Amino acid sequence: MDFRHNHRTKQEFEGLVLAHLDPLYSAALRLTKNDRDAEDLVQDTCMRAYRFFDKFERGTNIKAWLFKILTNTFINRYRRKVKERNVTEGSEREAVHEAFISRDASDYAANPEQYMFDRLLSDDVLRAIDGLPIDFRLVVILADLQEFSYKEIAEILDVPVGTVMSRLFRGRKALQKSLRDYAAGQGVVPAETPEAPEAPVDLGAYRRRRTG
Amino acid sequence: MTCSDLDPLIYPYLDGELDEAERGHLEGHVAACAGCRGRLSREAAFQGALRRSVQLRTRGPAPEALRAMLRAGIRRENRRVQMLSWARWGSLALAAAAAGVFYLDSRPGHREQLLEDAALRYQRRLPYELTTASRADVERWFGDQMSTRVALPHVPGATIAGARLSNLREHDAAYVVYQLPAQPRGQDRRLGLFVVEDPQREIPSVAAWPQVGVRNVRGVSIASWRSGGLVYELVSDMDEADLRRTLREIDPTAPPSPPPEPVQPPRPRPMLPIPPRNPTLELIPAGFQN
Repeated sequence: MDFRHNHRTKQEFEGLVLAHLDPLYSAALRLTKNDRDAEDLVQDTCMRAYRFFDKFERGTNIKAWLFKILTNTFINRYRRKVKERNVTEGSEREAVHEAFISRDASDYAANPEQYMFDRLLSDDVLRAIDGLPIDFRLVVILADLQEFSYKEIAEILDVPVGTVMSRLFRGRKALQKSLRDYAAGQGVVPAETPEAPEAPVDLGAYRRRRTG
Repeated sequence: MTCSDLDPLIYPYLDGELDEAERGHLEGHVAACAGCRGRLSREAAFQGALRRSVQLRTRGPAPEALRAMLRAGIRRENRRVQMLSWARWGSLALAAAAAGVFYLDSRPGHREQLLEDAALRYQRRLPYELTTASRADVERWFGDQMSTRVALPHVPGATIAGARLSNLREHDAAYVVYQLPAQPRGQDRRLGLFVVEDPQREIPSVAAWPQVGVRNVRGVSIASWRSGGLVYELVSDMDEADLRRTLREIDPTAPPSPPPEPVQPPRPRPMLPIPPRNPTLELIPAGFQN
């Protein structure tokens, strides 16, 4: 065992981890929903990463590895606390928000839903994401905030790629439903809108059909 | 490809996960099918809005303070690792002895980190998870959350402002804030008390009550003592003389204050060795500079 090798590796740690600090922090922010817990989560993540850095294989995807530690740390440690706090903050959801989108829509008649999605306010989208169950929130954060590939997300969450696809499908559909319900509540789109079929997402089955 | 195939393909297509042949099939079908074209453009608009919003509002630089703290922490750890490595690479006999020496030397670094965490969390005023004036209620609540029974000291004249779970580095901690009456000078009279489980006595250089170490970290005073398997870190904005005065009045083993409602079940006494009331307090001078 060459201690210089180990030492150099630990020296590398600073550069490697700090290079990914911004994305780690932004994911932590979306997971914990407040900056104090986000800082704590990132700190814990870096501490753990440092401790297990010897186990990290050179040349593999360090960003995915760091996100794996981040999500595990969050699930194990912060989830309960954040949940408890949310119970007390639940009443805030009752608060009425600013106008959802402006009503002077002349062109939305042709495709009201597309118009709605084009005009979504980021506040409403964030609120809808924050309201997702944790499994869906994780895949949406990893796919749409961080733009990880399905394979990377599967690696980070330690689930099959098929599970990533079906969680992403259901998570995004749940987001659409909550945004549509909200818009309907504001009278922006009709309450009755065509809903995508609830068919299970099975890309694998499609691929087998095509090749079989 | 048929219209019913669109569902499983639509997100993989928008996420760039389809292979070229699959993409070709989908685009061919969509070009010829107005219904699927509408669905695809709705989903594309939705995904665009989703990504735009979440990225615009969440992406950004991490706080500079966090970056600086991590950098300092990593460098400190690296220095420690380097010292241990040198110790290991001495001659075998020397290494054994040196490692012990270095190990002891290195632990104050860890201790210092715990104290820094305590100071930071005290200054940040994290929201409470529990607000009650009753010491017994707080102890019971901590009892539900932690594996060790946490006994809170009685601080004369102070009320409990609130409590939450916290941590100092890798150690889980109970955190409770006492509020003392305001001073004429209007200075902050908050006492933040971290109670850390440490049954294996891994946290070094903390003596058992009534020996109390007082240190200055990041502009606050921290008094530390051990009682049974618990380490207490009491953080305050007071100057050291004030803190010493307060410490002399603290009774870490006083029975819980009477609960506000008479219907409370009787509480067992704290599971702590009981030193004499108002023991002669030995204050250890500051061990290190910060």
